[in-house]
Amino acid sequence: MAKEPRPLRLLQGTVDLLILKALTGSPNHGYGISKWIRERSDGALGLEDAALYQALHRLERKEWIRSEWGTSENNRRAKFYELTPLGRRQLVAESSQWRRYAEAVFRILEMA
Amino acid sequence: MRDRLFEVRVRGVPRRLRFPWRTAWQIHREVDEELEFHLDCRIADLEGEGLSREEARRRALREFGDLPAARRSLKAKERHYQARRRRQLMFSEWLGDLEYAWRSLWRSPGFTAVAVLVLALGIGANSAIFSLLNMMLLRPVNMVDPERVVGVYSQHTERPDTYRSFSYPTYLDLREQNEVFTHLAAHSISLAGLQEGDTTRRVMVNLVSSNAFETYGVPPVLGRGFTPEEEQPGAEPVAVVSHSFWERKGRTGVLGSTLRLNGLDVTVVGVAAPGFSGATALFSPELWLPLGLYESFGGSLGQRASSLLDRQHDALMLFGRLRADLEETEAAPNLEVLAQRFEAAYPKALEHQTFTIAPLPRSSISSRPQDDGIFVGPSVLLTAMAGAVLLISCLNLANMFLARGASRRTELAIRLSLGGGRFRLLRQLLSESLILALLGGAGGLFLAFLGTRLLLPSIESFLPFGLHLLLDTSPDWRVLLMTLGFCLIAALASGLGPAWKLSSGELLGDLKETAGQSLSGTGKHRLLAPRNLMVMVQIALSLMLLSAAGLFLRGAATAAEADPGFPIENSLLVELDTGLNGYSEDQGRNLYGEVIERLRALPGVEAAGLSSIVPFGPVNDFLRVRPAGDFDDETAVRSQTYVVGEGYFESIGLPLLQGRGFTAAESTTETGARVVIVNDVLARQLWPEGSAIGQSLQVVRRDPGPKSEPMEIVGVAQGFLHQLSDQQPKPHLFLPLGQHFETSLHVHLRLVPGREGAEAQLMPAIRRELREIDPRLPVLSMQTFTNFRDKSYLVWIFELAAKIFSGLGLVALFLASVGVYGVKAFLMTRRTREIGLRLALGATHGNILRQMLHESLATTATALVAGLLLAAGAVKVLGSLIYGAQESSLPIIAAAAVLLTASATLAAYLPARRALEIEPTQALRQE
Repeated sequence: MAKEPRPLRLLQGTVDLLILKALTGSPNHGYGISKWIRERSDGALGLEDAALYQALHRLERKEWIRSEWGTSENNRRAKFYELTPLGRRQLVAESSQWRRYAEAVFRILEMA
Repeated sequence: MRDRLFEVRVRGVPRRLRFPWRTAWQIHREVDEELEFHLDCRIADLEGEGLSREEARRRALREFGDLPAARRSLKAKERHYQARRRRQLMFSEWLGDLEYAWRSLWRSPGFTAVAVLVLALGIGANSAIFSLLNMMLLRPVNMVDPERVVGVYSQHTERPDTYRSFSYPTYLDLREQNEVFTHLAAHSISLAGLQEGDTTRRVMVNLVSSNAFETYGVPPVLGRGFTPEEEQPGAEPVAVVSHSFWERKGRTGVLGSTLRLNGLDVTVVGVAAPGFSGATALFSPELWLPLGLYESFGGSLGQRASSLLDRQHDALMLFGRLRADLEETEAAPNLEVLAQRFEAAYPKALEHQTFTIAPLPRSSISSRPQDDGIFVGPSVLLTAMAGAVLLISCLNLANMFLARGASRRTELAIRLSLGGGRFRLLRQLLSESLILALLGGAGGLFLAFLGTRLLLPSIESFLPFGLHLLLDTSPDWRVLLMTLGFCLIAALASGLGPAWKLSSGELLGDLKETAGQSLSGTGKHRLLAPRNLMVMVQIALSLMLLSAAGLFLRGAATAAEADPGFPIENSLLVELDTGLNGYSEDQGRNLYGEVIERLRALPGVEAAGLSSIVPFGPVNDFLRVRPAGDFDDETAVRSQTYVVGEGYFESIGLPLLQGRGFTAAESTTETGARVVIVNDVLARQLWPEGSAIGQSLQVVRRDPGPKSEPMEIVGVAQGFLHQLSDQQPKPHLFLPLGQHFETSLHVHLRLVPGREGAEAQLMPAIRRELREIDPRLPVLSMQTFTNFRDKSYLVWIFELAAKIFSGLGLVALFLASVGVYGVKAFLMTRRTREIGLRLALGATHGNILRQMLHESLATTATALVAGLLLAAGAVKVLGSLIYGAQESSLPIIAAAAVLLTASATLAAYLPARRALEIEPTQALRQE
């Protein structure tokens, strides 16, 4: 088995962006978000769940997302998060900024 | 208005946050549950991928990271956040309260205006008094680390309450050998004649050692201080001028210019820092001179200065800057050791002397340690009186709040029943009083500033010897802080009681009631109702304040009428000082001889005589005397000592009781038999039996010499008062001018009686004569003796106190009247129905008015009885300060009571009158 590449360390702010993106579709609980990110990135992003929950609670305090207790697919009480209008605006702004940033870095890397 | 209630309640607060609080326990449980759910799901998923349960669990935990730390941190952050939100919400609610209170006050401008005025007067009185105390006692002294600068004193080891000054040689030894001061400075206060154009003005000068400015830590802002060479006798005469002197002289060209001082040319080498006053905080000298000029300027008030270098000549007061690493108490042992060493080296000069240190007082310069204790009594008194005024305004406002609360009880009841809770309503009502108190505080600060500015000229009007008072009236942070404190006190004192009562829910029942019924109980009930009690306390306190004001007014009048014991009419006083021109003693003697001769010859002058000090004047001069040959110091009598010339007793209009006055020879020449005159008080004390004439007395002195030779008593004078506050003549000693010459003298002139306006006519003639004798001789003052007395210290202090207390008393009277008016006006509106009914039943206006006034008088009378007790207390306290307070107190209290009754009755009459103007039918229809 080929050695797995070392997971990438996430830049500050990236986790927030990923969480917002994960919640665009429908409300989800923390585990759902964690799973969503792992599946989309094929495990390439080294996001510890501890950091994910810290970020979730932080975003909730910033009122970008809000939470409510509900019932999960497996019939357990779970805390569901959903985007607030403020969070939705934030997602649009942040992702376009992220894209511009990434493009700029790419251009420089390709020129070299 | 009711809509507003809801609007405010939810303003700015998202609905979901109305009960957003999660307890710490809830947070704990939710975080645990959320994380547990995550782990369980992940383990289940991994098991689904084929891992064993154990493996799945380990993997899930590894993926999660530091679980315990995350748990802790999530909980802590959430708790913190919740607490912050709660505070924010409380604050925003409170802002909402304030906003609502503001709008509610804005809607009743009449109430608001009166309430603010009432509070402004109450708070203003307190701010004004505090500003005064702040100016006098609290503002920092202009020097670096003033608490490190202490006075150094020479104390007698066997008579610990006896202190003396230091000689220059002792100072030098102490300066060089002490181990406790970084700087040790010496100084001496003196008066000098400064020539300005044709006239010579007397100015206060401070002779200082060369390191004085370094000791204060405040170097001159322009030029320089003094060099060590200038400290030595014979150096070039130089001076540092005060900053205000420099400003008065037009700033430019002052530095380097020459001043003519006591006939000597002195070069200005420096300008002191603004606000710098040197030796005392409150008074500033105009000039600082180096100690090297001591022999030309030292020796205050015309007494000859001996040599500075004489170890026996105690001339200087010391102050030092303590080393930074030393406590005051640690300095004492070193100074005591030095004192013992010095005493061994100079047993004659320093026998029984030890050295001590003590903080420098702000208000006096002395060779003995002093504090500003004289200010404590008056400060406490003033603060208490101002506090009474604040109490009156708070009670007043509390009554206004109650009345207002009653008139808007519908609103309050609705707010209460809507579930805002009592706390919420309480906070709301207190917000109103807080806003009013802050507005009142702003007004009060303005009134206080105005008041202190008005008082300042009165304070400054009494300053002997051209002293300059350094008082800064601008409010500083202490005044602002205290005023804010007064506001908070006022807000709570006026608002808490009514708010508590109004929010109690008792009012709920009032929703159904009609106005008036609940308030018109029996007469007795009304008299002791809270709002009546509050009015009574106001009246009682006002009586106390008015009585105190009356006592001070009476005291001022008594002082102004005081009679020294000799006829003060037809008497003129001219103050001269030949020393200010730098004249020698012989020149001075000749000059004074000529002055007396020529003034005596003026038409209209009956008698003229010279004297060193004057009754009611600012100067005391004490010597201790005992019968000659009696070496028991305990029998010595402390006597006020006048140096007088021939004709003095005729000039003050008191013939001698026995013996004779001084002869022309005794008042001009130094030689001849040593003679003295005593007053009858001293004669009786020294020789209780038999006549004093022919007996001899001796001055008690440390160093036996010509000054303590026995002197024969040649005359006994009738006693008179030296100080206004003296109730009986004290022992007086009169020395002949010839043997005890002084350069600073007063000429007493007795005019031929019975000529209207003779004094005014004579003054130009006197001035002309003096100019002919010597055009450069300064006439320091010329006034009638009556005028001199009216400007004396005691008259001044009583007039100042009378002004302050009358101010407080009038404010109290006004407030109490407003209080009575407010309550009566309120009650009348409640009783229009009753009045209407009685009018309809045939009562006349007179009947009803009489009853109303009768009720008001009952209130006032009850209050006055209580007030009498307070006033009697005030008399007791003030009796120790004001001579004759006890005797004159009854008519004063009676007058105050009459004044109060009249004001209260008028205040009650006006609303009653208005209530009666209503038509009976209309009154009945009102409900």
